[in-house]
Amino acid sequence: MPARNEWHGSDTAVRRQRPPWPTFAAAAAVLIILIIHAFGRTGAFCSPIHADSFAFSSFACRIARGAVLYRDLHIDKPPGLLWLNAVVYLWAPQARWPLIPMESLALLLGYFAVYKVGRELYGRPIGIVLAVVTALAVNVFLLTDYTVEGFNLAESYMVLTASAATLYYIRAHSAGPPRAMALTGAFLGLSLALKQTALPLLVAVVLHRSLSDLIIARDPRAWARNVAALGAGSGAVLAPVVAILAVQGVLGAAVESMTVRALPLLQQMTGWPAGWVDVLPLWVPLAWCAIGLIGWCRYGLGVRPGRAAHAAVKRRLPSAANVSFLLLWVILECVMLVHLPRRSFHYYALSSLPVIFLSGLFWAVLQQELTVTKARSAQYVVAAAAIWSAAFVRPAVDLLVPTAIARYRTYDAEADQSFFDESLTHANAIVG
Amino acid sequence: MNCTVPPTPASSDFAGNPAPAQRPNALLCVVVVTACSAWITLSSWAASPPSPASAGSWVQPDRVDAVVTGVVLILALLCHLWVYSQAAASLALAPPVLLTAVWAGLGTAGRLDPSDAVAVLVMTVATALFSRRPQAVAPIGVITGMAVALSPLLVGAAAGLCIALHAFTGPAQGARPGGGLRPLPALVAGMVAGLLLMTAVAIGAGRPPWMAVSVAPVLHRLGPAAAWRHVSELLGLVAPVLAVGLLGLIAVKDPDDAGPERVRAGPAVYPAVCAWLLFNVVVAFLFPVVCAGHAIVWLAPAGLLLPVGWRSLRSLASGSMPMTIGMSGGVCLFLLAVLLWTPIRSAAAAILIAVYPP
Repeated sequence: MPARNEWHGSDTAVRRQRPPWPTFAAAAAVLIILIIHAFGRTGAFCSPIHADSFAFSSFACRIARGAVLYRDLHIDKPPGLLWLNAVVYLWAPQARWPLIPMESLALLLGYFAVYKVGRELYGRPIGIVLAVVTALAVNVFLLTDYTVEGFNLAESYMVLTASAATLYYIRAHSAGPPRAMALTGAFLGLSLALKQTALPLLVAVVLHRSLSDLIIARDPRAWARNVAALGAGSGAVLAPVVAILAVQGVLGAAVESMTVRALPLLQQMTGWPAGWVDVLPLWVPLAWCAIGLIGWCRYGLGVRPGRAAHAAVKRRLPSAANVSFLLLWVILECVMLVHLPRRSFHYYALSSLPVIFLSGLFWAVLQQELTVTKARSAQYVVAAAAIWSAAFVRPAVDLLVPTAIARYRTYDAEADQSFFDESLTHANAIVG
Repeated sequence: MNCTVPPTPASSDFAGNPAPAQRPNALLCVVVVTACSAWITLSSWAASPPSPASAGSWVQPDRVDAVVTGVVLILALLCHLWVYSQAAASLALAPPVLLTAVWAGLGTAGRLDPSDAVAVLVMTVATALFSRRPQAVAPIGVITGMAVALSPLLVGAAAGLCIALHAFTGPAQGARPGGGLRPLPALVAGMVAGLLLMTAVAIGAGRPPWMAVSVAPVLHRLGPAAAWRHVSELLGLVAPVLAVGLLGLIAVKDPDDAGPERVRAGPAVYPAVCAWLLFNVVVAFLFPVVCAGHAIVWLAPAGLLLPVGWRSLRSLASGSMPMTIGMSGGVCLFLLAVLLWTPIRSAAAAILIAVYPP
């Protein structure tokens, strides 16, 4: 078992030693993200599939006009997304398009949150790389889902909430302020209010905190304090939800819908990908993850202690605490995917987040090896990694762009509106 | 011609780095080159559909064009080998294999006009001449002009040569006491002469040059989504050479950083090829590269940078590198094989279908 200082480490070293980062590269990354986002959202909105987004938007529209969820309308998901969408319909016309700005804003903030997590763990340049990879992965997964249309799904909003929860958890783990832990709880509460698939992150946080405080640090008081802060944060968000449901008199029905009715779905099939093609946008992050983890184990866990270069590299890498948390989250997401009801790609949008966060290890180890060893070949090491990554990211881009263009060209606004009007008459929805 | 650029030393790398004193295995070279030639010939033959009139016969008139293209590509391959041997004392066999696989894949995947293959051959000859005898400015210009007449994509190559020549001779021109032609004007004049000459020949032969431009309307007919798929399919075929070529572009040192000694020690062709490749990357966003021939011409500078890129890749995967760097290099080598699978499969499928028609 690693010693306490090895376990907790210090990620502030990474922040102190930021390499100079040209502004134009950051601007180019932002431009790439915006282009990917525009293609992804256009393709998702113009999808020929008419399912979840129509159910969510029509239900939200009716809630804005006085209908009560779980009494007049029945759905097996938490109310968060529908209430959020209903706010838009308080003044927006009855159609699907008014939801575009809100969904896009949530996703853009989600990429920014991913960047912040990457910056916290590895530094600014790697944070930007992770944000670009997230934008591509999320948009490709949401676009290519063949069961739902990928527009205005809970996953679009959960990228922000899950990343923000991760950010504050990492901060809480480094410095340990209860405020950060409470904010982690608050964002976890928001995620749970949106969809039940936030459960693996919640379990990962609780398990990891318990492991860290009770077994590594052997400090039950710190554990109690942290869990209390976490509970207070999530309670502060979830309590109003519960209160509103109770006031409306549908709390029991809501709990029944979200648990008793939703649980049998888990026994239907599996959400585990059938092959590598299903996780096309994750090819490169998974390869980065594998190499990065091997490199990190070698330096971060001190497999070869005693060498000055190794020690120097190790000091600048993410701490064992953060890496173990992300690994635990990956494992729990995998367990959940096995049990999800169908092989629907939109599930992967959220499940890919811990993999993407971990994939930054590759660049971090590479960067530090190059810094410490002062290898002459520094420029072409990075060039080779970037060129080969681009070559294997290309299939995902090739899937995204033509699909989005083709869908936009075949989109029929009138048919969309008439289907929306028809869906306003539905009272039940089983969504993905 | 009084050009101040010295000839390339035989013992230096393409990038000017000292090359290891290693002699290639002659027998292995012969075997590999023969195999590459056979693969190109077979794929060219398989690329064109058999004529019903000559079914069952191995000599099919409709396939003559394709086989001629194959022969031109083999000549271009040999020319590349000459450039490679100028660039390095030891000839790595991987670059010609990569080039062969990609050319064969492109040939069987789409329309490959013989003029495109000839353009590549002619430009490679010009580059080879420039790498060995950069003072022969006028002939190099004429040959380049002829190549540009065959394919407008080679404008980048011409610009690259001008930039390289200016980089080498620009500072020396003012110091020259007079006499002799100035290299850059001579090169440009040669290019114009070559362009006019080849245009006249092409028009005389009833085959107007720059037929590639006629492909542009096809792109509009395809529509943006289908055009993207088409271009991306071609990009998948050229990925192995493009990746190693781009690595070569980045791996070689910037001549400006190393001062005039480095420039004198290095071959004159390097900046020309780098400028050409960069021009092509930019032009890819503007020019409709929708057929195999365009891809072959577009890829030509990356083909010339293959030895440098390959050597960089090999050095990354060496045991002397730190662990993550070495592992990254190893993974890149493995992934290069994965990238190579696409053009090899494309050519192999076409050959099998041609030999055993359904």
